[in-house]
Amino acid sequence: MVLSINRVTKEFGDFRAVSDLSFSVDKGEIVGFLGQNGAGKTTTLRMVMDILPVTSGSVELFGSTDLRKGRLRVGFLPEERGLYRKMKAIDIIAYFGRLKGVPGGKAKAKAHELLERFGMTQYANNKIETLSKGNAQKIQLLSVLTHEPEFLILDEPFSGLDPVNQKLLEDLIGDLRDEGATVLFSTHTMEHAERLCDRFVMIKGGEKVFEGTIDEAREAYEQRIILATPDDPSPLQGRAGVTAITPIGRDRYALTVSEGSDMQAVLAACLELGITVKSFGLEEASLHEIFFRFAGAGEEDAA
Amino acid sequence: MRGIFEIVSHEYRRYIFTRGFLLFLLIIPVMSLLGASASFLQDATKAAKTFVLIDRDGGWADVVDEALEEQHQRAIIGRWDDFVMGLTASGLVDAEALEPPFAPGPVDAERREAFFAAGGLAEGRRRLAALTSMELPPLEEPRRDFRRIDPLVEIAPDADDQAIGTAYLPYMRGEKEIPGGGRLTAVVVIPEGYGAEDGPNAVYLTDNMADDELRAFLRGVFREKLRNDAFVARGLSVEDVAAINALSPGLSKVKAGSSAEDEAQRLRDTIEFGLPLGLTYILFFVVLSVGSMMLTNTIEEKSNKIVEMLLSSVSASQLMIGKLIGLALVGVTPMVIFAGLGFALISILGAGNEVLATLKEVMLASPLVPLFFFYFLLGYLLYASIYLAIGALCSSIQDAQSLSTPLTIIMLLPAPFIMSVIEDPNGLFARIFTWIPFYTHYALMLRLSGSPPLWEILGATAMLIVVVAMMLTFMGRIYRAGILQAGGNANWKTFFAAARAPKGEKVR
Repeated sequence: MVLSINRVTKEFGDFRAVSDLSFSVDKGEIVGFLGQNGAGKTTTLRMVMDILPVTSGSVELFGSTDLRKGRLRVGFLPEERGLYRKMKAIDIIAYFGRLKGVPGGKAKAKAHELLERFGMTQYANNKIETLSKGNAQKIQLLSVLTHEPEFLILDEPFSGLDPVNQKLLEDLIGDLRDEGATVLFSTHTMEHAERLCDRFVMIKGGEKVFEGTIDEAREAYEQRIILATPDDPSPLQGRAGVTAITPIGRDRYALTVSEGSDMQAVLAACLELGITVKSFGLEEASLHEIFFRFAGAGEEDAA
Repeated sequence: MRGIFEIVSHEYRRYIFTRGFLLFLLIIPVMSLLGASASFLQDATKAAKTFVLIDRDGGWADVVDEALEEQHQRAIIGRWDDFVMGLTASGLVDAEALEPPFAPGPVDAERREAFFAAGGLAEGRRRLAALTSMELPPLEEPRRDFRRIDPLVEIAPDADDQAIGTAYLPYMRGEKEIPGGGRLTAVVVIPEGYGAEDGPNAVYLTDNMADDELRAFLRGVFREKLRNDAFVARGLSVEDVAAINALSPGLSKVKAGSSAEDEAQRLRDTIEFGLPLGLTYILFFVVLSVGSMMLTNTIEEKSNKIVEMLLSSVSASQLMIGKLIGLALVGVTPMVIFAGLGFALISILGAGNEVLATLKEVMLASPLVPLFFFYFLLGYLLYASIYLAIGALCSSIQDAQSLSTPLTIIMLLPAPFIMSVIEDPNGLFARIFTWIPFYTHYALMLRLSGSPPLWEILGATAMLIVVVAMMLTFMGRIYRAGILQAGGNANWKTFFAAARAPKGEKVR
């Protein structure tokens, strides 16, 4: 077990930012940590890195509650991140490595190696202020890799990156996974999470609302039937377990059915009522939709 | 510990290994060189101040000319003495081997006459050359300070001051040429009956009210002439008057406990008095500049969002301690470099120079230098911890101003009282400032040469140590509460609220 969070609560004065939260990350996993802005993601990650103390509960890194020691094996990219503008790229990568306990000479060698690997050797001696925003962000990411962390915690790593760099980062995370690294990252861009993650943890208002794989999420998700018909489907209400009919677009309706209802019976009811069925099937929920459902986000928040 | 070490080395290197710091190191020697050469340059470029004397009383032109000549002769002998002493100090010649009137010493009328009768500078140089095999450096006569020229304009004998001034103004403003070039500095009008009791005043007409050198010189000449005449009129002989004028009793300043004959000790006392002044000035300057470095540095880490990266590897306390130590070293480095360079220079150049040798001795032997570093540390920690806390609450320098300006005012507040502390190191102001922690370290440095009571030194220092410890704790709380907080308006209310924030809301 790389990370284990047990019944952690965090209060700021009267405000409860994280409430009785438990989840864990196993070795070699890529776990997505999802939630709206203000859901408590950053606070949770700060507690894992021992930047903030927990109010109650416990956090274990690599099976130990000594986070001071454990965090030296973690590469942490905070959501709010920046670099010394006057420092050279190579020096900054080496410096953050040294802070994690890598000896001076080795840190510099590793920094060179990282720059080379990501094709940025030409920027090694440039000051950060002369780099483009995208390049500065790459330097930032490299600076959390200097100490060859076994576990990466990335808080909103995709925010602020253009699509090309988002793709690069996605590839990088994939590469790291192939090398056996464990990754926990928070995001509200569901497509990245869907492509990369083995499992998800979703929180809302500081509480966990879901933990599991995407298939489990889909199972837990209250499924709806999508019916396409030019007719008025309202007579279906109350028949064959249909509890609600929601129009979702031109001649398309989402039918919510009570638990244990038979899809076949709903179809039969349609035919019986003379409703023309142009298409009929289970809704294939994307993570995006599941997220909205669980995390209760309005469309505009998560775009 | 490792984390602290990394922070210290990072903070140190980012200030010391920069072009700015090298420039700073260069500026000080360049400035002191400029300062030293300024008087020399001024001397070399200064033109004699030219004036016209309108004498309606009679006989004054000769008096003035004689005084001008005497002043110039004194200047020549003064330059000669400096020349010989300089060569003696560097071990090239021995001043004692020179015979009067060429041996350096006080300049009286007798020596002056003998000096120029014997052949002046040229003869002195010849005799000096005979004493050494070395090629002597060049020596020139000093320029004249003042020059009298004949009236340039026909002036009616009854013209008033305004008419005379108006007539000469073009010469003073450089609109008309004067013989010998340059501008006319002044016109001096001596009325008939000048110097009689209730008689009229002489008038000094000038276009440059700021420069009083010529006026002061002439005033001295006139006063001496009038007094001498008065003495003679009351029955003294000319010789008596000269003897009276030559009276100049000495009054040596000797620190109680030393001997007046012990020249070396007297020099040492003077240095021991002057040194703390200089050191206090440096103390103030360094604490202020390193403190503001701390402020901008902390604001940078907060506004550029670097701090969370740091805090994922080191604790907030480690970060704070590392920054405090790193910047303290930054403050100490130039002092150590200059002290080392100065020491080397003194050791090399000061071989024959008594003042420099004594300065070196005092710096090595007296507790002032170690005490200076001790008080630097305390004063620095006091101010830097406040700057650190302010920086943690602000995301820009503009933001910080409402908090940092009062601190600067507090620092500068005692400036008007510094003279009274220096003049009376055990007086009321000195004692009051000793017991205000913000000023304890300055006040004690200034007072040390005045032998304040030991209990005051120890008591005030102990109090300062306690206050510094409390400040570090208190400001540390603010730093930990503020450093990860997003923006917001920084003011004294948020400042103290941050200190009161419960532990759970603070960064570890």
